[in-house]
Amino acid sequence: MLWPVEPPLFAQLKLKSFLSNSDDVTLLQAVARRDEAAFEELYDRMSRPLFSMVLRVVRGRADAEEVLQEAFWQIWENAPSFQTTLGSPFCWMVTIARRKAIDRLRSSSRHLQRITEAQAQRVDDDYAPAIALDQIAAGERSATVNAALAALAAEERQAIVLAFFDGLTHPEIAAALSAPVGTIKSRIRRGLSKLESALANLQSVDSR
Amino acid sequence: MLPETVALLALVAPSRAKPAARIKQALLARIRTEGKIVPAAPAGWRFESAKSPEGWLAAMPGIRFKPLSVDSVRDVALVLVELAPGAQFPDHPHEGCAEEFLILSGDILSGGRTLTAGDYYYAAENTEHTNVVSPSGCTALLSIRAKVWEQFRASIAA
Repeated sequence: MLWPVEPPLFAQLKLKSFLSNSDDVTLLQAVARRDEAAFEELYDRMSRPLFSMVLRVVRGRADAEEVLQEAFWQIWENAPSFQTTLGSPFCWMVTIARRKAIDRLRSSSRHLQRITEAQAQRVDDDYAPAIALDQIAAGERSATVNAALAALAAEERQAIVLAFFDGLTHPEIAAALSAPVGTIKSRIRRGLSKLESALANLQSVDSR
Repeated sequence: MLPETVALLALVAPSRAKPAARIKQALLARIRTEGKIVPAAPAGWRFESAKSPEGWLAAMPGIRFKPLSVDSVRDVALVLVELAPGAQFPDHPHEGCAEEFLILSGDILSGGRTLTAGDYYYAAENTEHTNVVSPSGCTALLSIRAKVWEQFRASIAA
């Protein structure tokens, strides 16, 4: 229940669940039975995407590695309570790692700097992505998500990126982008609903 | 848990950097030494702990909070609070909201008394709360209205 205790940025959205990658489920169930080899395989499969996300949130490599380690430790510890009815293993692991990364960011108040950066209009449009054509050609799932995000209006993308990667609350995003909180909420809602339609065809998440 | 579409955003993080190999080695070593079986939580159960480092929100120097449950229907929030030795909580009125407090460890000066583990107070709404200081640090359970907690939470986040 990590999401409901944090600012309900996306909570009001009803999103269709993606089908779980059956390999991931099997692996996670083996991890729940304390299978060390399964954990190693899960790490090999997931550490790169999770690390990339964590690195984007906390920005420092040393911090990111510590956060990743904490996240995988929690994945090991909590695997027995993972339930497929609640979502995919990918989603479950992203939730854990992102929460850890944002806790790290906020505990040092470094998230305040993100607000300042956004106010100074130094919001990175390299993070808010351009379509990488070579990746799409390679058929990468991340490229599909990238393209979906790139297709949003800049203001929607900006608000979503500040929420997801910079861990900012609605009022903080409002301050960062000099817009009313209500406007920010509707930008996020609108953007996520577009993303949902764009990504509805992704039947499962293969993170490799 | 995040909605699936939101979780997919993880895939757009720009770098595809690889964590150092020692991270994996450290995790595997830790599993071998302390990776004991944790029984699954029964359906409808959720466990939290004051002992775990997760979920704490730094509010001000030496003071942090960990929400355990925020029930907007009953308008009740249960929150762990931790003060470092010598930490002082700013004077505040209990405006429109009673405050209940059960100290779990350490000590705290509140309402003119020194409270230690097992001590509890109820401060009715519209009372004043001044000179709150924890000489040797403390952990306590705090109960206030959910709405007031959310406001407080937003103010520490801001």
